[in-house]
Amino acid sequence: MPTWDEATPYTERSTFSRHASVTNALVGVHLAALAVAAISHFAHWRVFLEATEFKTISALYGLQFWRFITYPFAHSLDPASLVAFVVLGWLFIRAGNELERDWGGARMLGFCTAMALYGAAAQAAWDVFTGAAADFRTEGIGGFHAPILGVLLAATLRNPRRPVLLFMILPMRAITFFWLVFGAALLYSVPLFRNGNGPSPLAIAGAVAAAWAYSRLDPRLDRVLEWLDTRKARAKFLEEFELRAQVDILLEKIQKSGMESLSRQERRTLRRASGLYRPPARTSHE
Amino acid sequence: MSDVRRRFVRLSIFLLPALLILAALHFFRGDLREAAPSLMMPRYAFDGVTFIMKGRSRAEALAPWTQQVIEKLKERSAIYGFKAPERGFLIEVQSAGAASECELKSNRIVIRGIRDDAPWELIRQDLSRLIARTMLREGAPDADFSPWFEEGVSRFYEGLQPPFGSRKPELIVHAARNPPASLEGALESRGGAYFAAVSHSIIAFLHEAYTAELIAKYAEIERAPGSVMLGEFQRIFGKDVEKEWREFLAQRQKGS
Repeated sequence: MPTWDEATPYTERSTFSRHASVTNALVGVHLAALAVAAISHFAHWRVFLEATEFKTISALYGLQFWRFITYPFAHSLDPASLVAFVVLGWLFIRAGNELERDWGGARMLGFCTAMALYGAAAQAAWDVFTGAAADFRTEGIGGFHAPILGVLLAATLRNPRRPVLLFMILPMRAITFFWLVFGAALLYSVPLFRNGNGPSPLAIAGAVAAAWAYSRLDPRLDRVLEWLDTRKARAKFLEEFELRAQVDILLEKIQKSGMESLSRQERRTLRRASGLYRPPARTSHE
Repeated sequence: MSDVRRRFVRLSIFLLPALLILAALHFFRGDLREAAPSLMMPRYAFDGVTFIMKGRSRAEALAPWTQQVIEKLKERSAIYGFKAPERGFLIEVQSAGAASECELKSNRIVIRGIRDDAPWELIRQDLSRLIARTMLREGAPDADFSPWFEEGVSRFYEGLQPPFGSRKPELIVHAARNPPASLEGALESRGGAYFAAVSHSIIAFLHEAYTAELIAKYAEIERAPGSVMLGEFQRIFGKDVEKEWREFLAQRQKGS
């Protein structure tokens, strides 16, 4: 991890991944989705956007559940959205790859999906409570802003005081940088909200809130799961210990009076104990 | 706990709040669950008429015809004061159900019982009738029209091609074969068997037996705020109106 003294235009180069990763694959899929959106736009063919965008009434009440996770792929093509695509895409490649090295691809994919889901849930709650869901003129939302800002926050909260360079020149803390990006994304998304697959500030806020809660609660959840594992292992150890003691007594009894002297309960105890002395199953690589 | 199992548990716990929120929203607004199919149906807007139906080609074929009906009714506004809603018409075509309807004080018309692949021509009859009814109500928003009058006028202006507004011989014969006990009873009726045929026969009779000015005078009473007093019909058209109406029915039955 670089320190303040080490912050140079090359500081963050170490976080860039040229290897195959879920993050890079997701960026590839988004590029393909942007290309499809561009072709659809010029061909006046709206099937792709209509099938992927998020509309509360279709997703939640029409049971088109895929919309909860497909709306990030419904990109709009106005100049501001294309600039946002490049900037956020670049930040996602950097932060996402760094996070993925620590988390692994499966967790990264799950996290991105969950961020999209939380963004959509926030949007759905807003639409239901304001009555926008019941208005057929309500436009759908799209864009990958919500999950990407969630990933950015999760990456930032791992080390919020680390130095980053704004515009590759101005050093600042990672958390300050994140809030600047978040504020800019909200400001940019408000005028584009409900405007032909535009981003939703509510979805962005929902995903960021979920990422913040995840970053705070995940270590605690890990400790709880660890504690549960330890408790289970301890209970198993004590049970085994007790069983071994019983087996010793039973073996002594067999030696003295023979197998026939054992009661049904004692035979059952012996059968249970036989598992303890079995050699562990051989794994395929051995 | 194995690593895979632990990951699954963590993901499930992480997703649980979102799923609970969504489930709560889904059940909290059950009305939206019922409205979802119509809200999700494709919409096609054409100059003052929005269709909510499957099949763009059907909507495109129906739009000019609908606009023609509206224009023709506007031209014939002298007697009944037809007026198109300022917000335009919202016409929804559904495959389920049987009875088509137009909502009171609304621009929404629901045509039911038309299959998604049925030709657009099948929609015309009900649609023309309900457009006439909506425009009649729109012309006098505070009126409490007599049910027979609303039904009779809308049946009279029901049709497949211009001029919209004509006597329907089959309905008149139907009314003649099943006449009500008295005209007063027919005027007070609010529905039931032969209601449409009898109501239409009264309007058709008025157009044959009386001048447009006299019919417009009665229509003015119907269009005034509040409901119509008993005896107003006889006051305008005379005491012999029932006898003349029965003769009109008998004559049509003989001719059929």
